[in-house]
Amino acid sequence: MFISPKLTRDAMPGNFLILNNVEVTFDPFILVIKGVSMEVEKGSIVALLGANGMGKSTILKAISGVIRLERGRVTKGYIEFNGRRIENMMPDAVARLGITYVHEGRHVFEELTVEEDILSGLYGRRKMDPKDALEFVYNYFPRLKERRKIRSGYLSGGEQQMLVIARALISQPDVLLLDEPSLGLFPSVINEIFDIVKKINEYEGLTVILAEQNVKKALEIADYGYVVEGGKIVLDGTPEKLMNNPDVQDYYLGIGRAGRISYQDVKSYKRRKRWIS
Amino acid sequence: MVEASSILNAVIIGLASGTIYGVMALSFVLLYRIARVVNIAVGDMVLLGAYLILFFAELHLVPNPVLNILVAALLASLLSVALALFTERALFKPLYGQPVLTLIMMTVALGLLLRGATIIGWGTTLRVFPNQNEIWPLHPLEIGPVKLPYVYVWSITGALLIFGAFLYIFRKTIFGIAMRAVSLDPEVAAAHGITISKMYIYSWIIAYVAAVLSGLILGAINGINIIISDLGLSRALPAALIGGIDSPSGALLGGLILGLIEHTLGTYLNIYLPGIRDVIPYLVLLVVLIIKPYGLFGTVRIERV
Ligand SMILES: Nc1ncnc2c1ncn2[C@@H]1O[C@H](COP(=O)(O)OP(=O)(O)OP(=O)(O)O)[C@@H](O)[C@H]1O
Ligand SMILES: [Mg+2]
Repeated sequence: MFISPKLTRDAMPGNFLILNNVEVTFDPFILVIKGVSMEVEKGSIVALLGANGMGKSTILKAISGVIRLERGRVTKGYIEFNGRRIENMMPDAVARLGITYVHEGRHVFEELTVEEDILSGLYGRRKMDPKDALEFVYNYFPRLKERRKIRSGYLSGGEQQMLVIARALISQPDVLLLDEPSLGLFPSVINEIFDIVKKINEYEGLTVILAEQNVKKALEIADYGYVVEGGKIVLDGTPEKLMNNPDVQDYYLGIGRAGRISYQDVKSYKRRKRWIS
Repeated sequence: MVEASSILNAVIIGLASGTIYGVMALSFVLLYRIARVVNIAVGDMVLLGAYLILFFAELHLVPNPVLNILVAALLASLLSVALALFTERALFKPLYGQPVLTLIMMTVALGLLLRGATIIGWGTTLRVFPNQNEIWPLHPLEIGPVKLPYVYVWSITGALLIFGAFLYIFRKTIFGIAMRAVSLDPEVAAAHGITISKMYIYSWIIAYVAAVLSGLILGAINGINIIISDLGLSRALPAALIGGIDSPSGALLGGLILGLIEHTLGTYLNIYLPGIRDVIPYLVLLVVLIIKPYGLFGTVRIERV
């Protein structure tokens, strides 16, 4: 079937990143994402929510092309960015289009100094003088400026998370794909980082897709949210709608009828949702 | 009793020949650091380089012999860029993601291929560069008590230029930072717009050019034939390992240490134990690895919890 990229873009004005019924398969025939559709508006923050192993990272890796380095491919559906099909492009090419994926787990280049680490994000994508570009990111992360001569492997966890965001930011991308920035960090540090992400979004018009298990924090800064389960979107809506959804309250926020959730409940919930969708 | 001036001379010559070991070690180290290729073919790349320079020099493109050999070296380096492209695209690209041993076996094959090519092209008789004695006068350069053959003047100058340029690019430019980033975490580097396979090609290019230029010096010192291949590997490998296998500046230091010991202790012991000189590099290597397993400048991984 032929889908005109122009047509689909015109059909959804304001959406500059679109996933249409995307399936992701890893070698050998492991189907992980089973038909995901998303529409991301320019300048918005979109949250991808879900428990471990549900497919949040894989969705981000499909958009960024990083699945191609893990023997994965989009085997059905398409991904469109600015009216251009990008599914199955190699990650370096996607990055040069202005989409940067920040891996989950704070992958700093340990042996590089903080400043070198940030500058590595500029290679092949420099839009301004490296010095100005550095000042631009230090503006948002003054703590990194203080530590700029230290090897990045020696930074604290929170600082490393800031570093990987700064490295993504320095090329001034249009879209930031941010994978679990809150992982293993102290609540006040999480707050600090989420505040900065929100600020960058507001001041730079940066579009952010945020994969998070920390549903509450993510919905605080997001404009829209998707709940991912078993490689599918089972629920989506505005933060208000999701926060008020009894299922979300039950199983992700732990404040609903059930209070604390038991494993059994989660399993039956998942099963139910799969049957529905 | 050995005279002080002759010791000084041995030290200087040792360090001078160490510079060229350093350049060959750089070729080895860079490939290992960026592409994780343990390049057993490094000596054969040097060998091919010597023959390529010989080939272009014999065309006598420029009347002045010094300029002629420089032009020949330049042309050989340019040709080696094509060879680097062929090596990476045709031989190694299909293998990335394979176990280290598979890559090593491919470098063994590459070495045989290059060596075979030189035998087919030039035979095995010892050759010398045209007008060798006009380029590097037999009478050595005398600095006080030190007598330094002109080849070593070239070797020192060349090595300084190569290391100076390389270390500047590797340490100070965004390209160099990107190269190091690929060596640390290719997947993350790719997500930031760095093309991994291009970085592999660049490291093959630098490795080839460094090896080819070393061929000029080794060929001038020893004459050109198959021996260069063994000589190249037996100096590049220990020098690289002494310096810490993944450290470019370590490669230079490893080369200097090796050259120094070879021309002082090695020369001295060789009087009593003929042949020991060629074993010395490996003895030095053993001692260094026992004392410092990462080599003198190898990256000690940051382990932070
Ligand atoms: N390269 C791969 N090959 C095979 N299966 C994979 C691969 N990558 C991910 N998967 C599988 O896909 C599923 C989703 O993984 P993914 O990392 O996207 O989950 P996630 O929602 O990000 O979880 P977490 O919150 O733990 O990071 C998991 O079952 C995982 O085992
Ligand atoms: Mg994940």
